[in-house]
Amino acid sequence: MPRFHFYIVEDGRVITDEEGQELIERDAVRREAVETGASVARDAFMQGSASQGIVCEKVTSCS
Amino acid sequence: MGTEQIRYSFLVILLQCWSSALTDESITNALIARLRTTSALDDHDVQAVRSLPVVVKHYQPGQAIVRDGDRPAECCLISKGFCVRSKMTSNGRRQILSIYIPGDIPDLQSLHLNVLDHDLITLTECTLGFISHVFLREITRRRPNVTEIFWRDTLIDAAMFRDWIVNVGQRPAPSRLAHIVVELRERLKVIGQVQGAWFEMPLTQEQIGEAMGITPVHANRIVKQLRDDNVLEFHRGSVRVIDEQKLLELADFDGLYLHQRPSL
Repeated sequence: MPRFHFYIVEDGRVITDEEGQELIERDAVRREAVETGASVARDAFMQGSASQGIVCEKVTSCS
Repeated sequence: MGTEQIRYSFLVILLQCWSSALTDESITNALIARLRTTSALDDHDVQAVRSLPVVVKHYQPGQAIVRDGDRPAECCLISKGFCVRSKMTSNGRRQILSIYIPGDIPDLQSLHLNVLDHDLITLTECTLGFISHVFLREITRRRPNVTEIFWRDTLIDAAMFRDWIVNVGQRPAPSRLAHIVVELRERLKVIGQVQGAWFEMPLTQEQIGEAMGITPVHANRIVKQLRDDNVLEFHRGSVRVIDEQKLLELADFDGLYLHQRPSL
């Protein structure tokens, strides 16, 4: 099963995701990224700790 | 006393003798420590609670003790280990509603609410003591003081839910996690499970996310941020406070809702 790692980039600072998650459907991957982006943005923008955020995914293993 | 009542009393005594053989006093130690902190428990009450017949069972991590829709005939006392109460949405998202530690009876309300409306799941290996509703009803009818103490216990449980709602609904994610950590520490102190710098918080990043209403990836970011900001360090199911002052400011914590003194 593919393992997806979601990296968060806030103002160029990269926060890695070592654990990752096993997800099958493309929709689930997209939903995870969108929900993460939305809730991280809520915190970061409200607190002013970042002005730009990106969530990207990387597949590391297939078993 | 009618024949039915005599028969019933005889059955209760017989069951008590049978179950007491299985019961080790250490099963109720954490419960007594906690009730002594929150309520005015006298020695007769302690003796009555200790004499409740308990059936001890061992559970593996991630096992359901009771599920949404079940009709339990017994309540579960945690003697060792950690559990969570949670509820699923129809599309499969889980919200963790509370964390339970030794000394807690998480499903005490099942004594009066017949059908369970949530799941109770083990986080770690657990030693659980099951107390039949028959004996709990009997003790609450016989000892009004114990009834009041159990009633107060479920009210404190409700107070903790109110606080959990405020936490998840209103605080930014780093504060939410800080708040949950401080609450857990204050409760673990009562049962003597905070010794040294580290204490147990055996939630995975996914479970931290489910407790805070955020994705596991966001939970991962918060855990890292709290470490980078020198507030908290998480490692293998335990947590260490790096800076107490920063933690308390971030957690916005007022422990009144735990009612950890009989006068509160």
